[in-house]
Amino acid sequence: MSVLPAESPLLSARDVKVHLRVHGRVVKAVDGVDLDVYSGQCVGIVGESGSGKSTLGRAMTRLLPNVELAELSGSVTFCGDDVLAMAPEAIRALRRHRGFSMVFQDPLSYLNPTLRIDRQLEEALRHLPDRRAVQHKSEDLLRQAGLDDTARVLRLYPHELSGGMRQRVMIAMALAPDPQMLVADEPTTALDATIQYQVIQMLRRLNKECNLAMVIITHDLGMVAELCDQVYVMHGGKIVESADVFTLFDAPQNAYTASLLAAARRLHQTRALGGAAIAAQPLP
Amino acid sequence: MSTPILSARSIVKSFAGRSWFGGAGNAKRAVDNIDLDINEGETLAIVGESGSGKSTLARILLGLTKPSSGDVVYDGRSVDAFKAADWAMFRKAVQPIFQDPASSLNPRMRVDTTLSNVLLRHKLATRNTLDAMIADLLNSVGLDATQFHDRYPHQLSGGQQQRIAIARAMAVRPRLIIADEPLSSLDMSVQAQILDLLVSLKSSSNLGLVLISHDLNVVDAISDRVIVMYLGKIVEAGPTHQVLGHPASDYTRSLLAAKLVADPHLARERRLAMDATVASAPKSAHSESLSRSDL
Repeated sequence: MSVLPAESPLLSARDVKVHLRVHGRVVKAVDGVDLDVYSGQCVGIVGESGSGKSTLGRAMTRLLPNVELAELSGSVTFCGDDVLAMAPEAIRALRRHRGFSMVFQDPLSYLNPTLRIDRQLEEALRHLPDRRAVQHKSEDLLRQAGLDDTARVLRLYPHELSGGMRQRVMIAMALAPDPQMLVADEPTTALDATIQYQVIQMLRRLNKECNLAMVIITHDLGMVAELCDQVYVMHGGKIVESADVFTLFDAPQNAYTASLLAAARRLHQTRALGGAAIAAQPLP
Repeated sequence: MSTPILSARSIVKSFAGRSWFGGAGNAKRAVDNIDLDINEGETLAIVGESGSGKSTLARILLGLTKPSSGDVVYDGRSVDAFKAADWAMFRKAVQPIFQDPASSLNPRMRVDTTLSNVLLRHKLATRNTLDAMIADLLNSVGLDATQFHDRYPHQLSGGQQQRIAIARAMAVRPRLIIADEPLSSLDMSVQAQILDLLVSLKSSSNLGLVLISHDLNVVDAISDRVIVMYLGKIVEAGPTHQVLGHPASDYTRSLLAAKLVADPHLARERRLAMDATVASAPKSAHSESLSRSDL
């Protein structure tokens, strides 16, 4: 089931430090992180609020605001190039074509409320030659993101979509440049449980069937257990433990990881139903 | 059995839909004919997804929203007939805890002021006993009184804020607490702590608890009875072990199937089981095909 790592990683972060200036104080949001993402692998970055996981995700995709940085050092190598040292044009080229995309927690604040979905997707598909190609690709992307009623969805505005549909549209837009890696920051936190599960399974299909490498940033160990191959646990800006998902859950080496797992099990403990009973429950 | 503390009798709450000329239009029934009883010392969970009407129901039970029709009955008396003094008594007996503690605490009040206001308002303390009572309350929710009494809400973490909100609710020694998603804005390790705190408060007093939640894991860990709501209606109700262990309705089953487990082995087993059922039923080959309209 787990993906065998290829020879060299697709993305490789080494000693990444992101220190932010907040109210005149320096906050070491990310403090010397090493991380590898191999082709087709799903990597989880787990931590609680304030652990620096979102800042790390933004550093990896070069989406950090420049103004508030006290220090940005280390390297993030993606396909042989250092993302942190790249010129802005090179970064844009990487985002536009076969590079990486990012999906965030709250899709409504990343969609333009005044444009129909087709217009928004069009912006991500400017490299295509004509309208018919754009139309065709748009529908294709929405289907990949699990939206089948494509003709109707394309004509809607963001406020006319449900939360789950919005997140699927965001993911469709993220897939537009045919990326090799998708970084998703809490992609299902704002969604209802049944919708969350569907979106997780959709991400899983993209990862396993389309061989799209993924970085999932989350606080939810249930989502990690469902989706990830390799897990990095973050605490106070540092990686405190990294292991494949089974090893991490079965035999955590770090005290903080163990306490997170204990908390998750306290919440996920099943009094009424044994584990086997859940496993046997298919979706109706 | 004694009379329940709080009951809902055929509660309906509809919100006017958009319509031309202010006509009745298509009013939306957020809560549609709900009956329920909450007994002394019992934990009742109300489960549902967004739009199921569970939060509207909570506000009605708290007396914060008037139902369109139906009765809320406290100790055998309809709250419709309540006078001011009755409401004062009701407010003391039934306390709320809300989802976002930051917005339910007054940002301009220190922790001790927040708590002393409640204690003095309900004449539970005098100037002499006030400090000791505040210290007791803070200790009972796991906060060091000497360290926290003079803090403002913005100086507290989310978990600490929620502990203060719980301390405020517990200050009046209520018979019943109605908690609307009390854990969902918190980190997972903090959720576990607050859950343990609620369990210990419940067991140390004969406190009733209505827990509104979308999280079946939390419901499973704490509640005695469960009500499952969907689009304003109760689709299933019963003892927790029965509803979650042997769900009767398709909707409850789909909620259970979507429940994440913090165990990669179980997650894999479940996927394999699902793939097997999908393979044996090619018509529903898309597990995505489950949508709200199908439910």
